[in-house]
Amino acid sequence: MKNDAPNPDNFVRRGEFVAKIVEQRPLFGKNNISLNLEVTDKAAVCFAKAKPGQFVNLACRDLNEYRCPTPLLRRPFSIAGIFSDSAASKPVSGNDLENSSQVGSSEKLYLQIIYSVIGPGTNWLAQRNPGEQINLLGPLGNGFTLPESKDAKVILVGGGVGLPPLYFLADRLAGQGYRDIVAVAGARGREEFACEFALDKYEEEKPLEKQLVLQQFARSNTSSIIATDDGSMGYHGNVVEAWREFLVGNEGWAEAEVFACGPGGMLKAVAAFAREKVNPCQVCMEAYMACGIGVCQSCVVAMKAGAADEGESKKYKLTCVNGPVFDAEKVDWNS
Amino acid sequence: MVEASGKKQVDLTVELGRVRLANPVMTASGTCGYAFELKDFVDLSRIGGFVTKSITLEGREGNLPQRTFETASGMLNSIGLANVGLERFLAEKVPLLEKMTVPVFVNVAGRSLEDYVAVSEKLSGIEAISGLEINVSCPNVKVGGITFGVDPAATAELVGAIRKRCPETYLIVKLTPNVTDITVTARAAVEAGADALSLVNTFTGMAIDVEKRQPVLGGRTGGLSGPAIRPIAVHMVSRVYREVAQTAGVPIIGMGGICCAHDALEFIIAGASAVAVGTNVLVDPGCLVRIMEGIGDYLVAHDMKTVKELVGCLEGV
Repeated sequence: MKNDAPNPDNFVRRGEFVAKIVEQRPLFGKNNISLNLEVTDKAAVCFAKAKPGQFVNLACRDLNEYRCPTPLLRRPFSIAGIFSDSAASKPVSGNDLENSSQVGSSEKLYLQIIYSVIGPGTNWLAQRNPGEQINLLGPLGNGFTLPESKDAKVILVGGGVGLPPLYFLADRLAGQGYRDIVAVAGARGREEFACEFALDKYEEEKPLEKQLVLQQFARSNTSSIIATDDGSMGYHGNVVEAWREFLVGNEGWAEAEVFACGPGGMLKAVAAFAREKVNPCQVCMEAYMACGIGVCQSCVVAMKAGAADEGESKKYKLTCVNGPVFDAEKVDWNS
Repeated sequence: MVEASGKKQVDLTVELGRVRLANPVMTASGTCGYAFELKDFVDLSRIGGFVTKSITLEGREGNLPQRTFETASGMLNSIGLANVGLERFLAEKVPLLEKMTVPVFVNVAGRSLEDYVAVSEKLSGIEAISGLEINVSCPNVKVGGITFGVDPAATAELVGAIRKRCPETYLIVKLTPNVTDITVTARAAVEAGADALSLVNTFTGMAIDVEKRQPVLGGRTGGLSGPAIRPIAVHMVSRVYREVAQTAGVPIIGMGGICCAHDALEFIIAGASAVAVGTNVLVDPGCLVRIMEGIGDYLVAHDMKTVKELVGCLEGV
């Protein structure tokens, strides 16, 4: 209900905006690109308050081209980071969340979007050059809720194209003063990591491959464990197996708060392991989506009996407005 | 009077029978929520009329996902009339609609004739609601919906029953294109007491996942909308206008893949008094206002003063 209350005095927290492309940079792996977008004025005010887990719905075409509107629908992308400079080196800390005056009307912010080129929308996007403009709706959805205690141990579990919102979350956690954060980053194979790799300065004794960490986590001093299903990089196994192995010798991390994003099957396994360990777990989910703003009712996720009762459906929640972040305990993983 | 480009004033108001709209651009049911869901993306006080998503007697969870699928210049959907049901609509959504400054039409759907009549009766006489749009054309529910819209006798019986119990209510009947001859069902609706016709709803279609050899959509089939259907929809509006609506004096609300003012003008010239935008609202909610402004610009460019002059002015047919 809070999303559609018609209060004209409401603070504007989202909208339709035009963003300027600052940079498109190829990342490690096949067809992975980091897109850096500049937003100004009202958009900057809105995105200064964006939370990790929120997303943007990008028009992957010229909206004024009506004769051949392809692809017709927008494409949703998680926000991978929000920075106060175009070099993407100063993450917005989130300390000013409740104080909109921190971002003046003339200020600029920079959004990082990380995507894989897989279809007509992302192909169009990949061909855009710096200086060109892109139409977006955002920031959309509800983001992750940070742990209450800054002493909490935080485990981030991401798979494939599910990693980018966790980069933003790691930035925000670090900016807010959380210290104990570990990321488990998985993919089917090394070519599918949408990130950049860096040498881990703290682990110089390890063989070369083991020294690699994900730069997008390292920027917030978040250490990362790399896992691949095919063993082509890091731990040979899935993210849950890597996480289980990490807990051996790191028993202090058995009590942790878990934040996950990735394919449905991975999230189901993560939710099951978190439940086994009695770890609170929030999952950022993906669904086929048309509008991204709660009107088309496409992107439903089934909830356990009783878990969706406060909403408009007893069975489903909408990924776009109720999510994309959900409490893993409320999701019906068997639907 | 609305100021278009330059200093010239044009009159965009339209009369849909006894309901007057400030301009001809409406939302299409199912693409704009219950009330103010789109408020962050478009100024809803500037549209001509607002049509809610379908309301049924009992709440509906809707169909299994996947519920939408993008196609060439279009989209398939199989939502299955997911909605909160009449009781919650009255309690939670009508108070929001009271704050809407443009005419509001509630789309009504049901499993049986009795359902439609019951919902229509409850919604009649509510001041915030200017009229009802009777959905006899939803292709995505197993019972009701389109079964009333493909059979002219069933259409007539349903519209007649609602008309009898709601004699004062402004009734729009939303027609399905999934028929051999849409003028037959249009005539049935008009003779049974429709105040206006809206056409067209979506075309039944299917997309197949060739790896799984299964339909993509959870509901197996879906309704095709978007620019892909526009030429067929324009033709249907043109026929219904010339063969039924013009003589009967019943206005048409034209829809089917409208994205820009040019598209809207096609429908108006073909015979629609107003237009509704659906699929493109999902992509670009702000297009509603730009379409309205674009129609004004067209009138100025063609030295016309009112949009009414354009309705059905198609030549060479």
